Amino acid sequence: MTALSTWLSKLSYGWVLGGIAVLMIGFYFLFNAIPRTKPVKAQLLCVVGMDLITLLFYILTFSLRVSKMAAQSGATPRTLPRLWAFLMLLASIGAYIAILKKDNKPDKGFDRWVFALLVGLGSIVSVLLFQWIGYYLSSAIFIVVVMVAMGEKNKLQLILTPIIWCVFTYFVFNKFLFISLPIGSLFKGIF
Amino acid sequence: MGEIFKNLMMGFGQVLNLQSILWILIGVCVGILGGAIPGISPSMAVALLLPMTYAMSPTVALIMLMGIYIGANYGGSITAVAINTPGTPSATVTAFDGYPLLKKGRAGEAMGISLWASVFGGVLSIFILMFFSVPLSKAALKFWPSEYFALCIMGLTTVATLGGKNWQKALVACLFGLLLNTMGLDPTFGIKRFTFGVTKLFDGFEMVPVLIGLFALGEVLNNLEHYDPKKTAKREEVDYTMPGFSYYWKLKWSIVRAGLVGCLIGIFPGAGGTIASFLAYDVEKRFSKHPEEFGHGAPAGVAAAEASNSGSVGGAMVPMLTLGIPGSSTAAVLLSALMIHNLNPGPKLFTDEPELVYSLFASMFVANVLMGLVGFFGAKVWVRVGYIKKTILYPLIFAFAILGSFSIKKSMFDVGTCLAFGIIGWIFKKYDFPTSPIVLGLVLGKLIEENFVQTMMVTGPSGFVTRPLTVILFVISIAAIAYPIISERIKRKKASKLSP
Repeated sequence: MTALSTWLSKLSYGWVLGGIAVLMIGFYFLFNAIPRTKPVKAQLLCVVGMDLITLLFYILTFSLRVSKMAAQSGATPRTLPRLWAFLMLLASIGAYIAILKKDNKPDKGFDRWVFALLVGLGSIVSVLLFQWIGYYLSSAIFIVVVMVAMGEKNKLQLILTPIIWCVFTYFVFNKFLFISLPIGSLFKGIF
Repeated sequence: MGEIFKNLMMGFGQVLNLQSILWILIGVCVGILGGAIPGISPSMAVALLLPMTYAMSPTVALIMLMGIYIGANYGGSITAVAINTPGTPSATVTAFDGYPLLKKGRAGEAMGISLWASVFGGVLSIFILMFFSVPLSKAALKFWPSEYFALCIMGLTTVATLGGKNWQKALVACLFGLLLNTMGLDPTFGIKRFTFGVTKLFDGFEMVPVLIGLFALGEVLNNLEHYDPKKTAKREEVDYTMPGFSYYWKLKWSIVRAGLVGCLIGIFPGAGGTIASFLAYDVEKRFSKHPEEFGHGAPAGVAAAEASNSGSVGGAMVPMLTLGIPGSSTAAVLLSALMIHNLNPGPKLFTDEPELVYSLFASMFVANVLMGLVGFFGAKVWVRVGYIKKTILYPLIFAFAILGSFSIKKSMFDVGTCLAFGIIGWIFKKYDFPTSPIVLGLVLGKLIEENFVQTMMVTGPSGFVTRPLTVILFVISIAAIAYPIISERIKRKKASKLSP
């Protein structure tokens, strides 16, 4: 267990998240194949995801350094994570049973989830653009794009909303709270 | 008593200046605005504004956030009355009688009752908060680490009430929060845990992006998923002129009763304004000479719902300030605000930072008065808030959430954290996993670990069973977890026996 723990602790979080994602996909196909678990597969996957992280943390505790003093006291850096992990695995059994009960609600269907996810991804792109085009322009573009994507057609509102937002954030954050927001390399030469 | 009064005067001395009043006013206005917009909860409003308080002094930051909390609790009733859509979950009960009153052409009465019941319920709860919290904090000062540990465990048992029917999911979420809390340097020995080589995780997750992600982004992503461009709230031209003060006098006992119920329910960690308003409504219906009017536009129904809802604010502050245990999800965000400003919530707060504590009490009085004025003079404006187009609202909340999490440390990692927790919040909401237990776990985790290690070092495991108070607290915790589960099972059995 210690060898596995040491190996896992050397992995970057990208690999760890990737590994968990692969396992989750595997569980998705498994739950989808069983008639009893099919209607509640998403709820089950939520608990499975938390359990996988719990299991990972539990294994990782084996590679945590323990000082003599800590070992003598009986409360080491491993104690609480292991306690929570144990209780978590115990509680998740209860959650699995509750989810699999006949009177439990089946998973809600997906509505416009791709749209919601795209807005989330759009916000990441907007943040990545901070360093080039600055916060103000980047957030203004983000607001307009989301407004248009949501079906807003009023041109005046499409123009005024990002302008008012930028003026508001400039005065509140820059002038009032003295939190300077990035203006971006593109505009650094100008201002 | 004299000491409390003297300290309260000191608190008023701190708060009654233009700058503080202005911040409280801003807080109240933002709170009402947030509360009045369906989809923005008080916890979300406080979490969104939390990053703005970084540059402020702890006192100013807390009084503003408190203003938001108080304002948002009232704000929820505005849309409950105006468009039968509660702005906050705790305003659901207000809609039972508020909207029928509007339909009868008595919108002004409904708005007036909800406003003044909120104000007086809130003021009543501050008195109870002061008289409960001061002696409780003095008693809590004598607590040993084992007792603190047991107390925190008792705080965690609130998941049973936070989760309701989904208590199993709530329990899993809470333990997941506790587990996530162990990331970063171990608080006693300084050993790196589960950081995966990310130096920014040495201090664990930054609380603000986590809170914004779970409460704000999760909610907005969920709303975006179910957004229907064709669905818009119908505007109704209604007269919102409020009646004179004498009108409310006949409701005085309803307000006092409901305020007391709300405050007492609020003291129990996890119970919150929603349970308080349902309970107070039920109590009021039983007291009423005309219970048949309830649900069809009974003024006492609106008064009970709102007074108890506001009363729960003061109640929720009792365990938060005295024991460091949040009484509601908004109190959990406020607790994080205290921690962000390097203050230790708990009994020591009363001895270490008396000015802050009593300024907070004084600011709650001021916030309620300001809420009365803002609500009275701005009723027509606040009603319009419910009609704000979602095409404007959602992108702005998103932008504000991103800005808030970025501005703390100007860190992209924090923005990533916010988005990641936003997606977690969205998935949790979609599949009926409550998000508040994760916050509870994240907030209480550190305190639990510190007191656990201290107890083990000083007395060993025997420390958890030899001190009577510790044992009593553990027994209460077990009972608090077991009671809702057992009572639900008994109800189910009864229901199954009754059904043919």
